[in-house]
Amino acid sequence: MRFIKYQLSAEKLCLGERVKGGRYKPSIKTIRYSQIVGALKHQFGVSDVHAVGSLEQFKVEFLSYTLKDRALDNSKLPLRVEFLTDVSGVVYISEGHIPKEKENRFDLVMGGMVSKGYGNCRLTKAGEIDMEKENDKEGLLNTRIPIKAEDERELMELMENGVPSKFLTNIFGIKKVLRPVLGYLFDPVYEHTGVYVLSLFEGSKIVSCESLLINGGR
Amino acid sequence: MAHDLIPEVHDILKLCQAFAFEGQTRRRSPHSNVLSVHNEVVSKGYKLQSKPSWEGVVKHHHGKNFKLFPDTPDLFLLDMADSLAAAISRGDNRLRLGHPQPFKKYGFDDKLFRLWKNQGKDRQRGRQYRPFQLEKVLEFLEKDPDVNEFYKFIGDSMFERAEDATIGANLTSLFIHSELTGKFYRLLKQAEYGVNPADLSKGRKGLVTLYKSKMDDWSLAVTRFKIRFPQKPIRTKDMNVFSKLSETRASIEAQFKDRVFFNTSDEMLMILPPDMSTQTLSRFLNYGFWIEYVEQKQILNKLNPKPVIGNGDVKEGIVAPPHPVIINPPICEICQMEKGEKKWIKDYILMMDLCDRCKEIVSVNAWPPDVKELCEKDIPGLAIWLDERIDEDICKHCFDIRIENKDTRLKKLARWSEEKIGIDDEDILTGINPRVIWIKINLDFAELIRSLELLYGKYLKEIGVQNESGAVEIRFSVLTEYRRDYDKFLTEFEKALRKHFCDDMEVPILEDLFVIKIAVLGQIIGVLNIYNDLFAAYFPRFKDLNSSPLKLSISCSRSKFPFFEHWELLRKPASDIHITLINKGEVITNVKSLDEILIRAGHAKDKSNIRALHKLAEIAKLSETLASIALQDKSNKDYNRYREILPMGMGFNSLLTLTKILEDQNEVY
Repeated sequence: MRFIKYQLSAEKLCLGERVKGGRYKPSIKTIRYSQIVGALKHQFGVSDVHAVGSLEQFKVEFLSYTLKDRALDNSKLPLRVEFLTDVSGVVYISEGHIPKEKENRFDLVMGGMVSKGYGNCRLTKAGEIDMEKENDKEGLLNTRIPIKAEDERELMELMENGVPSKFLTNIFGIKKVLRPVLGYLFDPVYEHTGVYVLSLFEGSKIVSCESLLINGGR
Repeated sequence: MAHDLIPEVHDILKLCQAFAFEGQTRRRSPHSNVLSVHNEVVSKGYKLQSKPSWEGVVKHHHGKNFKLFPDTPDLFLLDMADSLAAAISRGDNRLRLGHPQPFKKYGFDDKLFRLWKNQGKDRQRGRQYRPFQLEKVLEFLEKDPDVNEFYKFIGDSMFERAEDATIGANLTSLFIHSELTGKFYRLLKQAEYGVNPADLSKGRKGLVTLYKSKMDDWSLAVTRFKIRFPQKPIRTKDMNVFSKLSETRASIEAQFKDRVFFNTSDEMLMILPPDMSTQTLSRFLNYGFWIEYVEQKQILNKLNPKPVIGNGDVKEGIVAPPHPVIINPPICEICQMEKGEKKWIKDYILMMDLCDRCKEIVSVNAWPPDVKELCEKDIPGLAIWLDERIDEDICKHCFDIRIENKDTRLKKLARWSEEKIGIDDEDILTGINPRVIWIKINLDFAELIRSLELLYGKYLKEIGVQNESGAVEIRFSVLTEYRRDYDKFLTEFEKALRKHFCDDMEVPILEDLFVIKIAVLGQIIGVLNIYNDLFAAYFPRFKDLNSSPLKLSISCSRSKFPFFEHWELLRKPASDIHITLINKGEVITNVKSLDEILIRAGHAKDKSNIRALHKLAEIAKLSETLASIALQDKSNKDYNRYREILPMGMGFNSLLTLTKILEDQNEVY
């Protein structure tokens, strides 16, 4: 599948994982499939879009704040949130999903704490690639991608023989999963509900194009 | 009835002093003259003839200098196990150390040469360590000892005696060699390898041919793996996951005692029979733990701890519990790998011995319930939980880990997390807790092999081996020998930390993971001092290398800061020494620079130097660029002080963080 490569820059990003123990919310240090696809769907109302990304540079900072319970007019327990500043990264978006007039450059809101001014990203076109046709390398995955196995057999093939699911092969050109690191990504079903889907996480050892690999697989 | 063959005993004659055999003018080594020993046994009437272990002592070689050879299938396997457990390959004697007779060219030194510790000057040509008289050993063997009696008899004598005394090959102690010979022997038997007894009666040439063909034909599976866990501990009780990790490791070791050849707190190197794969370890994995492995089936002739290119397929993968393709919310907040089917804390409370009415109240209401509704009998038991305000959805595994012990093992850490020592303007939420440092020692296995190869190459070059790179090979015995020192190092490290930090140190979480309460950042220098002293005592040669396989990670924060964030930093250090001050910066440097850092840290105790550091830290708070300029500005009156205090050879950010550590001190270290 063909992808457009974008250079991403953002002043402040909060790519929060789920709250752990209700008190601390860390930020992941990559751009997972669900995050960028969710942001694109929300921004452009597109469906069937596929996208992933990774971060190149950032600083880590923390913010402590207290959520207010408006019904009771009191403050809940304080929350400590990790966020990233001076962020630069790369995003790959499947071709044909960004309106033509914005294809070279557009702004996108992504991540948490948007009401506090976080998450404003600028994406600037930096090229085009076909992940299936790029040269393959062995390396560690730099992002999080759902496996979307069609059935148990496809999942078993991945776990036992390293054969990627059709989704991983056809969309992202992944040829082999040598050693998966598994996790779950949230996949919204309706506006306020969704399910968690089994996914490949960063650090999985795979054979793919270098765009999906930490340091390009070097 | 005689004991079965005990392979560990096979080299006992190496500990015997030279002996004047009947009819010979010179005293000779019993180990190299087994026929003479055999004749001595017969002539003096020692009752050893039918004892399998004695047969093993005199018939475990097929080299032409030995006049007695293996003549039963068990002795054939012993010969093979002995060879597999050697420090250097015995495959082709003419190629050993690049010389047909290395013993004559390089001489011998009975003392073990530790690649990670010893230097050329430690060598002593002709040095002997053979404490026993032959007669005493023969009398002992007449008792047909079991393996425990054998180890008791030889005492410490095998720890420093090299298995192969040839200089350049004296890399493994007789102790480790004997232990590994036993493991390989039993492993070959478990793999059901055997030969036809008739094939052993065709003379030495036939034996050699048979031996070579089996070494090329028989194989074993070498697997190296890490045990990983998905849990991200939130509360102190969640740290029980490390006890579970240790238990998992211990149960694998207990079940496969003879198959584990190297291990650290989370990594293992095992050799398995060819029909067994790493997947068979799945039955040891609970709580969502999984294994990441690299496995290769290798022929015996090329058996090697690292995958050998051209010696069979290298297989990588994971052994993991089955995972559903989809999980409906809620997902477990601790592991995020299973459905969060338990409610913390309500499900825990409901496990308590409460009256039916109180159970009902807890069950149908949000936690905490109205105290007035609870009965007087149950209130005392619930009192400590009534302030709990956080609901968590967790899975059964993480729930079980959390409730493992009624009281947490890490009592001090639990106390520190609740302790309030004042208000820190920087952080109103967590600033009130004391500071802690998490310390982890990591051993990078692949880098360990590379480092030992480099040091072995240097050793061979020193003794004059031509084309030394061709002779360099790190085998299982050298690795096991290293592990023995590594274990001692960890024990000493823990002991020294405890002596230094006393009550401010928690019980060890793993043998290489510790947590300590500190009052000032400067106390981190105390840890570095301890580490550096022990490193110099145990692994000084690693300082000759560009990077060390042994790595120290320190991560510092207030005690309430979530451990799982520390864990990610601790287990993947960016260099030999990696110190992270959460939200304040990091020091990344190599172990070579540690001496210099510590000398300069000593200078930093001078009050005028502290003032200069403080100034630099204050400038950095406004602008790191400005601090960088101040540090390099020769016209700055503090320039010379900075040169004196701050070591070079690290990035500016590391220097700045080191400044913060040095500046925050009193007379603690």
